[in-house]
Amino acid sequence: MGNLESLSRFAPELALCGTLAFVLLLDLFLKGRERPLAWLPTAAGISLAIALALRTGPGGVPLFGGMIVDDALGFFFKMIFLMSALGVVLYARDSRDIAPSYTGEFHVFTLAVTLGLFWMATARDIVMVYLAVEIVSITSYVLAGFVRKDVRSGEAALKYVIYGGVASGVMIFGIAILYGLTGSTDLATIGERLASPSLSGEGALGEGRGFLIDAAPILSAYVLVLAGIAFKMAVAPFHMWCPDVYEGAPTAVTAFLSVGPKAAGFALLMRFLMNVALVPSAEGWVARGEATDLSALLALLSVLTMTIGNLSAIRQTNLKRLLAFSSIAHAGYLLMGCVIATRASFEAMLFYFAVYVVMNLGAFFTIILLARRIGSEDLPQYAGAGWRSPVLGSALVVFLVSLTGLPPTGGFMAKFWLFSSLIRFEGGAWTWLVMVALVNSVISLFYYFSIVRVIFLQRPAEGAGPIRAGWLAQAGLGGMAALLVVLQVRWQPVMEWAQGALK
Amino acid sequence: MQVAAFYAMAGISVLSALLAVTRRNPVHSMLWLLVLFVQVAGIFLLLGAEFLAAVQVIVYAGAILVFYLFVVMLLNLADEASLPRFAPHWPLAAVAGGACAALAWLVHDAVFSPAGDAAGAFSQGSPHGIGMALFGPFLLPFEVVSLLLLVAIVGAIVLMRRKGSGS
Repeated sequence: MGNLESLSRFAPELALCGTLAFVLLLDLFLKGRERPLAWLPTAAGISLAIALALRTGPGGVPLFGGMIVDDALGFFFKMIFLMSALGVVLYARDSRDIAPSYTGEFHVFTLAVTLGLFWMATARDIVMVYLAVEIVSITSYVLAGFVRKDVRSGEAALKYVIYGGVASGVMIFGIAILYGLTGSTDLATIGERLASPSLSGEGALGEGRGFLIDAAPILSAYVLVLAGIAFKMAVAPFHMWCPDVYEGAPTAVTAFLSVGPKAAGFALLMRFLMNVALVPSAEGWVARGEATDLSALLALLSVLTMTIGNLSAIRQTNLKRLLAFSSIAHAGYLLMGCVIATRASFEAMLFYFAVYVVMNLGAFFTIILLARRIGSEDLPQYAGAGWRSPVLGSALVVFLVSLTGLPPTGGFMAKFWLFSSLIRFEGGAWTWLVMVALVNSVISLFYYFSIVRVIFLQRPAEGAGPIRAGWLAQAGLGGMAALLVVLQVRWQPVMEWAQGALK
Repeated sequence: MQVAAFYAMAGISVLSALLAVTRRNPVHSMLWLLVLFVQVAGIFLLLGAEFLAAVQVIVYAGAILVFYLFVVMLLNLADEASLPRFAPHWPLAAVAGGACAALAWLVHDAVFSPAGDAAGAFSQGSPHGIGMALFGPFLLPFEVVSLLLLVAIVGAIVLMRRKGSGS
């Protein structure tokens, strides 16, 4: 569709842009204690965007001359981003580490990140991909440095900026190579032209030009672009920024960063694989030839990521840091789906995301509410917290059980679908990867349950009273925990939604 | 003539880039960077991308470099100027630089023909061509950049104010 006609299918994005401008200007007129009220228009704007997105629905047409596409896959991720943004805005009101005078800007940045995530998940043109990644990155840098008077927050932001700058530089070098090879910025066209015989790894390999000339540039371009995306997903060895940023940023921001950019990175990776690096086959997507096959590399990254994430998480005593490493480990599990790139594994990945958003946000939101009363995120301070607030404590247990991947929770179903899609692929050629993931899940059991042990099996300190939180906030978390349990039995609707997204 | 001009400018730009990263005095590095920027602008001009060449001089050589110079001079890096620069990383830098050069050479060799034809790819490098592309097929990215810049400006102010209120 052309530029003007596209606007009608662009309504959710326009609503978010409008809200962003409104909140930015509104903040100038609010004084002192009124400032936190900015959450109201923000939440209203996001709700409006959700309503508009549901009304428009996925159309499956390229918009703005092929810059973005509003297909079902993009729609799936858009809903995930909007829901998590809404949750973050609502629970950020209880956050102890966002100064009241900054709430206006906090909301502006949350909206901007959401827009960037939208474009990361729907971009069809490599220029758009880069701009979307930059919006998400630059906004995240500021959000990470948001805590006032905190040295850690400043350190986190600076580390993030330096790593992020290098990562986007590397990515744009890969993009330049792709453009140089194909003369196009459109992802689908790049894929088509890479398939022309003189450029694909196979056909030409035996024709005397050799691996170096044909496959090496393509492979390097893939790896460089992959590095840029992997940075956003916090995949090892590009994960170093992640624990510091997660620990230094306000907890509400951490919650959003652990879900949004990761999901968008995977959406981008899936789109890159489906359009550029792989070609459709009967079961899903396969590499064009041996020389440009990425599956071994992705499997290596997956193993590295989950192992480093889980082993590092064991030693953590800061809850935010612990959950940061746990989210790195989950990125590792998710990468398994990209290794084989079948329809079934992509569906399992989407299902995993839907569950991951609920359980990870739930765990972070519980910590926001608890930390407001306890005043710290250090695990020893949480001794007996489950007895001081039974509702929050039991909700946290459900989230942790789900993050481990044990029944009866959605986390179990998510892992079940993902692992079984790998086992069933090519007669179990990737079963070893599933074994590694299973061993990792057992390791993760150890640190997730160390939290459970502290909050329920240890006695609260002398004179520590009950922890109170708003009943609406508690009801919301209870609902999320209940949803996870229900997903164990009633997983079909979410799975059907995921299947529809890949049609 | 054109080829000779290209090699002259390419040679000077590689040389000045090397000097920019090896000089001890940051101000000297900046000045070599200026030479590099002007050479790159010249290469753009050779390719028929006169708009890019103008932007290169105005934005990079003009605005960004002067900004860098201000920062470097304000920071007063007299102590750093006495230290050897990048000394332990030379082999690593050589390997990375060599790999990038090899990659560029390979891509140059395997290039897809429309883009390989430099004159064809840059025939839209005139202000007219760039304007048509920006407000036609690339309108959405053009608008998205405005959001990116807005967020960056607000972010810079937020981080600065944070420092002010902290003291």
